[in-house]
Amino acid sequence: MLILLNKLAIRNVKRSIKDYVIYLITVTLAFSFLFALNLISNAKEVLELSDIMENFKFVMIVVNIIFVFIICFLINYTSKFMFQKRSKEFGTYLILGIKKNQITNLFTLENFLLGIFSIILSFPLGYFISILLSFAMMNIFELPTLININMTIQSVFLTILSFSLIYFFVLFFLRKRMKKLKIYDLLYFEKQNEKTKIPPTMRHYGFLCSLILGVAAFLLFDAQFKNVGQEPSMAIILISLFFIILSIYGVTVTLSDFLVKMILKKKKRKYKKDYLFITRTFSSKIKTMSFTMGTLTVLITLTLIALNVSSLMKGMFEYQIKRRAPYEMIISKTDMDFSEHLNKIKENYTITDQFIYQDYQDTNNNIKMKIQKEELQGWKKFDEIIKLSDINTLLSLQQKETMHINNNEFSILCSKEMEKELKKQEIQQITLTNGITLQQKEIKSDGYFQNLSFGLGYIIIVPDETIKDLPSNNSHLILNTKEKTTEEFAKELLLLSNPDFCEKNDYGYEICYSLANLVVRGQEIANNKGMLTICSFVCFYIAFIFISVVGTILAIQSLSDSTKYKYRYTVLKKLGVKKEAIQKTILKQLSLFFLFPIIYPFLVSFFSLYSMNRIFQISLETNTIYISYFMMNFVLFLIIYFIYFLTTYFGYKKNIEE
Amino acid sequence: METILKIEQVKKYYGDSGLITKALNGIDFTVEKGEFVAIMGASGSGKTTLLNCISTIDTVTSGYVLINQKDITQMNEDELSDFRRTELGFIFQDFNLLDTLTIEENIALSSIINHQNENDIEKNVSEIATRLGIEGILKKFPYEVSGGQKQRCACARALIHSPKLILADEPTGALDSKASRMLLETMMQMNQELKATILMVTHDAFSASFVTRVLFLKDGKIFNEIRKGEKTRKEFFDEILDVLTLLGGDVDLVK
Ligand SMILES: Nc1ncnc2c1ncn2[C@@H]1O[C@H](COP(=O)(O)OP(=O)(O)O)[C@@H](O)[C@H]1O
Ligand SMILES: [Mg+2]
Repeated sequence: MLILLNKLAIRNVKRSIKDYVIYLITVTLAFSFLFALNLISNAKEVLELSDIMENFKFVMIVVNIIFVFIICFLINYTSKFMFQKRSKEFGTYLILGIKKNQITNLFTLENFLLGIFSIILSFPLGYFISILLSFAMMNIFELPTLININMTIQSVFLTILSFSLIYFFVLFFLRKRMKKLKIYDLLYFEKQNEKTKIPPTMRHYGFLCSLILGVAAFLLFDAQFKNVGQEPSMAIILISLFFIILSIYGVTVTLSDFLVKMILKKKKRKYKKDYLFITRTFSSKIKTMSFTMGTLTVLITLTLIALNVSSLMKGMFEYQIKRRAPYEMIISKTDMDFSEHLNKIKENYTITDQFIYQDYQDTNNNIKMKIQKEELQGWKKFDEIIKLSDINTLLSLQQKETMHINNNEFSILCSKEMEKELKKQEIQQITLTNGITLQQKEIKSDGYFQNLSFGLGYIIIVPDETIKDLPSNNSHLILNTKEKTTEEFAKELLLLSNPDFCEKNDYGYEICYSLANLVVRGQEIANNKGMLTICSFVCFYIAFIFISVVGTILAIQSLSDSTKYKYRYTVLKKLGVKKEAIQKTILKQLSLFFLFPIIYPFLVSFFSLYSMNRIFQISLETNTIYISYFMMNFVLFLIIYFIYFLTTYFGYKKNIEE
Repeated sequence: METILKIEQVKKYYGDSGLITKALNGIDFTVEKGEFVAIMGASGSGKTTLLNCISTIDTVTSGYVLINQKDITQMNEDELSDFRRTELGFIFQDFNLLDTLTIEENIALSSIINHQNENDIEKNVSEIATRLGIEGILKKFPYEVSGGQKQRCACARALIHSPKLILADEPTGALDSKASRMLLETMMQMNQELKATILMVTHDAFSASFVTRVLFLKDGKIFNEIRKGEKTRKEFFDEILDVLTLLGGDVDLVK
């Protein structure tokens, strides 16, 4: 008997492989992502980062756990879908006298075989995906390498472990569900109405309570980002995230009743246009699958948040590079003769912009004296001054707005931290060592970069003619090149510079350091990759995984609906409803179905980014750049989402017209 | 005469508090060995419900169902499973064949489950298939053959283990008139030559005219009963029509 059942199981898998394609694709993709995630969290760079940052390690563990849960949900969902498709077949087995236990074993075995098949496929696929994404991120960050993906035993082992855990639970619940079913349920599955289990009293107040919970969670989250310098508590952030998730489920479960109540309360509205029809179909739809809808909404929320965090990290990284290396090369010397450097550079690069300027010293220290915060007091002994025409050339090379000051005015360009400090102090008027007195025009930070006044954090801008008699300090060569600069070339250039200081190391070699004399963008990018880029990468990756899961669930759900409702549409057709009209109805329904789960995530992701920005803005190019991040991410999400929508729509149409 | 099926005061109510549908409201009748009985009635009169209660697909609210002297309302799940396998055969409106098995394997499935000798099974299958005129399609899959052929395959599957009782719920429901006629003749042949006891639910008079006895169902109760006896099929058909006119409701008079 068992032998026969095994044979039947293998046969069913082989022969109904078409039906199982959705299942296989879903499960294989899910495990590919899981494996890829394991590969990434076991990559050397990420492991090193976890050693430095406790929080990061913690977050990675939480992400892994969440992901295992999601896969559990996804596979459970898909096997439920497969079970529905085959309920009649199982009913037939029962009718023929096969015992329920044996049928349960059969289906378990089938699922298990498919799982094994999927996980084997998912190793190469996951490896491929991780390399692909790592490559994509490398290009986004313009890095030579970001993460080296290696097949490690650990990641393979972790994936297999997760697989076993996931399948243990999925199959356990599957068997429990199957044990409860009667022949009647199986044979007449299609005719049965889906029921909701939420008591009506809970439904009435649930909607408002869930909304209130959501707001409370936001306030809790927001409080973590109130003060700059205060480290947000990871535990509280996770708690508020948990509340948000709870609130999302609550809102989705209770919304349909709320909608029906609100929209259909007024008789006038009830019978206007097709309000009644659409509200009813839609609300019954969410009602019957509110849990799935809730999960979708949660996943979309997490996708958008992960994308936003990724953008913040990327923004910080870019701003860091901009502050240090706004041009391909900056070379500083005490004299004006850059011919040696220029010759060397011209051998390797095509120069597109070239500019040389000088800065000047002012030992009256008008500004230096005013700085009170200890950590902002630089090590230079004098204020630095730059001519208006020079700073405007520098700014326009960065595509920044140029500055305007009158003959008796000065401005200050400084770092963001310094801007706050200086704006607190009284610096209305300064007198330079040449006796000229100037009035303050403005203090700003946009366009400031580190080497503009290394060791100070600010520079004074004065009209060109007021510079006379002031001693010059350093000369600077600013270059942009057609080709991207590299770390190797920076090392070659370094040999030409006068090192700032040299020391002998333990082995007797002399090592020389050149602090500010040479800034090469390629080298800065290579040196600064690390925490930010890797965090950004991981967030991006997580977002990618979540959105794939969302798309899969939506597609499966609508396709299984289309098979289920085929009968209804056949009836409509027989009643004489035109094909175009039916298609329009489908389009309307699907649009609502796809649109509904993105409303809440839109709000949550925006407000959470708004809170986080309060702390991050100091390290970002502008205080409002987060809005453009948000828009970009949302559009990116919508594009991918739309592709899923189209696929589903056409699949649905095809299924019904068959 | 041997009684194969005995129904006593069977009631089946659907729904709980508030709205109760009395689908079967106290039914009594018996079926003897070798009979071919039809149950007729308007749609919604409880035919399917009755058949489901007999076939152990559904449970009764009260009353007894005895098949071959065994009360199925008292059996547990495992006993029912064995009982279905050995004593009952099923023919459904929508065939209920397994798409992943060939026609031959579909027919043989219950014998395989019963641990029969492989050679015996093969002999049995080909014998029955030849009788029912489907020997040429044994190696095909259900989706490769016509509705009539599928239904005759279902008949063969129901017959293969010589069950005490064959239950059929509107077996011609999904067939055109030519295939219907062929199927009914097949079932008649099963009844006459193989001595199979058949209980068939139908709502058209044409199908019913092929049987030996017709029970009429109305609002969950037996309304009338007529026997074919020595009448010709045409005479029996006319008699059924007369009862149906009395019965009222939306019954198809002619297929
Ligand atoms: N699962 C069920 N739940 C509630 N009522 C049902 C169910 N199945 C059948 N009924 C009701 O029982 C009555 C008899 O149904 P049925 O046996 O299917 O009739 P028939 O097969 O004669 O058309 C009908 O009124 C039907 O609405
Ligand atoms: Mg019926």
